[in-house]
Amino acid sequence: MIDFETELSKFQMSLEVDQIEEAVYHNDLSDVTDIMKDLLEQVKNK
Amino acid sequence: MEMNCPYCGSNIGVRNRCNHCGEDVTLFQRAYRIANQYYNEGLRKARLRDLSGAILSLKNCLKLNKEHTDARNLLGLVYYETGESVSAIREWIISQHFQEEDNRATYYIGLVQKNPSKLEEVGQIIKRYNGALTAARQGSNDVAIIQLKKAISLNPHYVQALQLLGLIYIKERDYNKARKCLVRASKIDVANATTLAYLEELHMLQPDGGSQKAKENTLDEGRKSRNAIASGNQVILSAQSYTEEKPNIMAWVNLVLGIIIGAAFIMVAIVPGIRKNSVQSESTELVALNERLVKADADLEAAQKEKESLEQDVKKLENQLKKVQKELTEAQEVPEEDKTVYENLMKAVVLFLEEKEEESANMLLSVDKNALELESAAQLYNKLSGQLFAEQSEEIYQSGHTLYTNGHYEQSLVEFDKALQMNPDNVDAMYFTGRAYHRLKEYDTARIWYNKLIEDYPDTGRAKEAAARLRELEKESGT
Repeated sequence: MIDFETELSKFQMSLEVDQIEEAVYHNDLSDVTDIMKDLLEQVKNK
Repeated sequence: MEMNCPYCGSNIGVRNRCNHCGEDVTLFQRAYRIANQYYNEGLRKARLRDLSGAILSLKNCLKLNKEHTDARNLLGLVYYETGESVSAIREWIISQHFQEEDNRATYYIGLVQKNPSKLEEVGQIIKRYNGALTAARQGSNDVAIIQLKKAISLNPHYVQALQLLGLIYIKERDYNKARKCLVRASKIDVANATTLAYLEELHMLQPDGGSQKAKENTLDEGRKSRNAIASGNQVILSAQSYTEEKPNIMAWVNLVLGIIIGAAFIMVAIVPGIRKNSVQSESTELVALNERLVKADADLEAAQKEKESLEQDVKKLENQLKKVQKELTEAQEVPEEDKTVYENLMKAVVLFLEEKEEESANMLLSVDKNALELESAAQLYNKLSGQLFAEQSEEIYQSGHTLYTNGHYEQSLVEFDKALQMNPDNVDAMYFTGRAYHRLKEYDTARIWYNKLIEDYPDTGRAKEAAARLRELEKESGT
């Protein structure tokens, strides 16, 4: 038996058109490659 | 698998070490291979319309290789298909940043940019969905339903809106409508965990009075969704698997070392500056785009105002023209009545010239002297009537007198009247008018005519005769 309020809270507001710039700017673009590069850099420095 | 060096960006082909900077790229090659596997998985799922599954796979691909533009473009397309248009545009813009040339994302963005009304419509749809969500959270389900219906009518593929509408209908115990919404959502995204959960819930909630066929349809939709995935994908995925993504174990084994260590250093690894630089160009482009859009709007508005102003001017000029035309027409028009008056006057003149005095006098009699506005016409009338009326009045009187003598009193009155019109001082015509009425025993009228003669023309012989007739009349009438 689903709970209406709980289900409702799972729905998220959709991004609006005037938020595109913000969405692009604040999008976390780090990927595993970046992390690995940083890790390897750290190891090398040690 | 060819790739670019993650350190210096130069093409290293399939080698494990970069010839340019000398760095070992073995780990990166492994990560990119797994990213490709995720991309292929996402593509397969998208082709089977398992859109939510495709989104998860493609996101995983991009976590491993953010520069995988095919995956990012496909993710945008999948977002667009499910109604998440802004998320789609976001992915395409980022994709364009990583690959400026020969990128399908340029085409997609171009389609949106070329059609500002479409972008505006997208904005309206999202606003309605967000408004509906807020209303539903505040307990205004009626408002939410109206907003969601409108959003769905504008974008029938808006999965989230369909799901939310289905949920609200379930809450409102309108199970048939809820089922319709959820079935529609399941046709767009066949294995969406939320949609399937609601359909199952609906099946449990459906009261006994519900249509058996409808219930079967609901279950069929759920089964079809699962079967579609199972038959189209060699890696059989159950419907439940979409609630929690269970990726390939081998893939994670390959990555385990990097991920575990990466988790430990994640706070250090994420450098805000990297993000800022990577999106700076998009932001600038977007700002420029917005400015162009605003300028275009302003130009359009100015043009519309100018058009309205010109239309008003044209309208005013048309009205003035109509007014002038009307005045001109009125000035040129001569009333029909006036025409007749002048025509009759002219006819009377012609008849007079033809020496047809009686006919000329009769014609002149039909002319209303007061209607002759032209002074020359009035003078002509006076001259002609002066020559004709006195003589013609006498002749008509004689004609009337003959009728009177023969006992045709009523006919004689017509002639006497005509004679008096031509010459109001014709006392003979006046006297016999009184006599004719006297004979017709219309004593009151006869008395008027006798008295008129006695009072207005007391010195005439007809006045004396009238006085004698008046006495007779008083005796006859017994007054």
